[in-house]
Amino acid sequence: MLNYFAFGLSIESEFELAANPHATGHSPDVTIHAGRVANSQGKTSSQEETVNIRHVGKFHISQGREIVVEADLAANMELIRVLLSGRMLGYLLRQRGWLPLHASAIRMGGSAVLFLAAAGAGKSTTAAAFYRHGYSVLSDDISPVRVENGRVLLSPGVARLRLCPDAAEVFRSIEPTPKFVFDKHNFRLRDPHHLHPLPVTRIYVLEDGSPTRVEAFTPLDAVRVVGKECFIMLHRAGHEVLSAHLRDCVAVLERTHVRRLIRPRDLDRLGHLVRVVERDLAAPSSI
Amino acid sequence: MAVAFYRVEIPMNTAEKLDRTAVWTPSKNVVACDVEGEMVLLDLQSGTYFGLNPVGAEIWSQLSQKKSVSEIQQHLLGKYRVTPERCEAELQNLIGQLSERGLLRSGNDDSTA
Amino acid sequence: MPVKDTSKICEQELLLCSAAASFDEAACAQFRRLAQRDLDWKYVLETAELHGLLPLFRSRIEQFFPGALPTEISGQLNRACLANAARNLALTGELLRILALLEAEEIEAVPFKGPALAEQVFGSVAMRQFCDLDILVKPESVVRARDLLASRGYVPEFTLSPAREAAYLRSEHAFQLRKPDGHVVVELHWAFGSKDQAFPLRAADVWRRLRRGKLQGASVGVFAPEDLVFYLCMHGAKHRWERLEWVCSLAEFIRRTPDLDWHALLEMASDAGALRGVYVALLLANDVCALPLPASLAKLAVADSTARELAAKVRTCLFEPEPVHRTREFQRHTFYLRTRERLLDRARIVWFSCARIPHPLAQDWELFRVPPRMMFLYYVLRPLRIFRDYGRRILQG
Repeated sequence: MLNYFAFGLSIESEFELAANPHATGHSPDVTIHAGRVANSQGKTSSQEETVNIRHVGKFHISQGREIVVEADLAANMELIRVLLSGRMLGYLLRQRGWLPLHASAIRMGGSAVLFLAAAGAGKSTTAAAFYRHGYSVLSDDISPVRVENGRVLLSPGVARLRLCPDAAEVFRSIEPTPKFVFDKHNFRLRDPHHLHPLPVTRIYVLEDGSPTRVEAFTPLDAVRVVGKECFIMLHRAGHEVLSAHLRDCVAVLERTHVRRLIRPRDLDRLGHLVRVVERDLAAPSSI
Repeated sequence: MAVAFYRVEIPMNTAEKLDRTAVWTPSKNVVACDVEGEMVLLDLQSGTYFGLNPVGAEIWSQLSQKKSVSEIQQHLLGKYRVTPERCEAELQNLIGQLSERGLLRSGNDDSTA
Repeated sequence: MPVKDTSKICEQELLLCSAAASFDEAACAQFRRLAQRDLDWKYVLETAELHGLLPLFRSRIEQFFPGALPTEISGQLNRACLANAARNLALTGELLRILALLEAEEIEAVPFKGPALAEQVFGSVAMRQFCDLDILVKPESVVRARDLLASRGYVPEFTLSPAREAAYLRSEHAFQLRKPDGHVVVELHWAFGSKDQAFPLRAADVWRRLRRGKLQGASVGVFAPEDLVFYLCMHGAKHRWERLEWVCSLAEFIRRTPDLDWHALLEMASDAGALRGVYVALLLANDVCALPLPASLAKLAVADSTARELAAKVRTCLFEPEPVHRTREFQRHTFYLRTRERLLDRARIVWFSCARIPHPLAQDWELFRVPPRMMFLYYVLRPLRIFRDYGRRILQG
């Protein structure tokens, strides 16, 4: 058994995860183990999720406490590790009452700034750019948030980044131990580990375009765009699950600033991107 | 559903006398509506439409309010310049025709048929 | 040579004039002035028909200016109104039979819209133009009611497996049935809108406040006045107030209900996040039908600039040619969205349009299929596709 710590949870796993190792101690919050998984029956419920991925295996996530993995014989174990550390943990966090945003997060001052986008759109690269400018990385792929006492809080994840080969090339000079993982390079960062939730000041939705700029969102567009990047299988979610999801999204988005961050996919322009964001954050915010 | 549409004329000859205290009410098999002062009736059993001119429409709406024959007569006498004899004759004639066609039923008969 | 006026402004003004719920001297005079002109009467009748306004228009002509119409047009109008009356009577008869049938099986049912509304608002089922019979039943008895209608010769629009039927009952709001001869369409409702429409009036509340009334002398359930007004306001919003008759029915009902509890109505609308929808409706009723509003209420409605803008938009678009189906659906959708104040409701309306269970009449039930009437929301579907690509990309690695 391996022990990890991420998103404020102690995790005991039979499978290797891309997460911070953790000393064995009290009983874990979450266990991940191999076992039989029945075929999925109908809709996602709020506490049960079955995911069947062809040529990889079946995953059953339940009660926010347990992930059972039935791997295919020919499954790529690296892929299982990526899925367990990403998507499956996302489903589990939802079951625990978090809104798991598909975003990377960095720390600015006492609070968190999130970069949200679909897979492959540059979340990690953007976070890496800020890392190079001296900011801490709070989370890479999943940024679980929820509203507490009227504030939106982020539960920090893992101080690591998965970068595409070309982006990795740029950052290689500053990173000590790159390890190629599956389709991306995995970097463990030297950041101090963040344990406690931090307030979220901004959510930037990454979009391609030029020049680099920040634009406003109508609230409805924000829900439409952010709502889909939340580790929820829309077509499988029943009305109750969708309703709850929507309620969570709206609650979060009403209490934080959501902006479009439009920038070219140009690794050479990342420094400029950081300055544009810094300037936007320094300006008095208005919704 | 047949869409026969014809007007019920009110002829002058008096049929046999009706009980003046009797109450006649629209049959449950009739639906009616006002179209600019005239009344269109539909007999749901035969699918036949009937039309009533404004005076006929007035009488129909009085019948719908469960007024007795003599009450309706009083009402008409107060509203139209007509002799009591002619009023009574026309009223009785219309009620006779309507009930003959099954559009009215005797007020004492509460069966739903 | 004089240039022929093709703008139809006078014709439209005359129709607007006949939509009024109350007439003062000036309004009567204007009606006469307009009716005296050399109008394109064919256009007047066609447009009146389109707006469900023929009976009301005829009634106004008879009331204020009998003999105004050319004989041929007058004959056409009378024939059309009589045919409408005849049709409506037949539909009303059928409705009463269905209600009796349901009652015999102890299924509670309330007729709404259609003949019930015509008689309630105008005192005659001939005064509105309608084609469907809408009946509200409780969710638990809708399947029984449908089967009962089927036994009376009605053919359901479709048949579903029990699992799909359960899903349909959860996400949709009505079953449609029709007589094989095609003349009668019955809609059995258990709610007032599908989940994606987040209709602000809940059927359960209507049931709770239900009253007794009469339809053709028979005792039937009727909505509490506040529920009916709220329903009419939001039904109009859902369809972007495309028919003048909807505004007229609302205005006339309010005019005839002096003891309407405005406070309760506004509270209900506010709780449902649809206050703006009510404001838009009242502004329209005031503007189009000259319905006087209580001063405090008018003040509230006028203070809402979005409501003002939406009402003005309806007013200017009333006589525009009907857009193609997709554009129309899109316009309706965005209009309805804007009548809702709360982000959550608006999000829900947009959201469920994409995540909803496809209507069974869609060709198949494939997961990502877009029902044809939702095609305009294609962009909302992108999330699902991206999500799918996400999975595929992982797998191909």
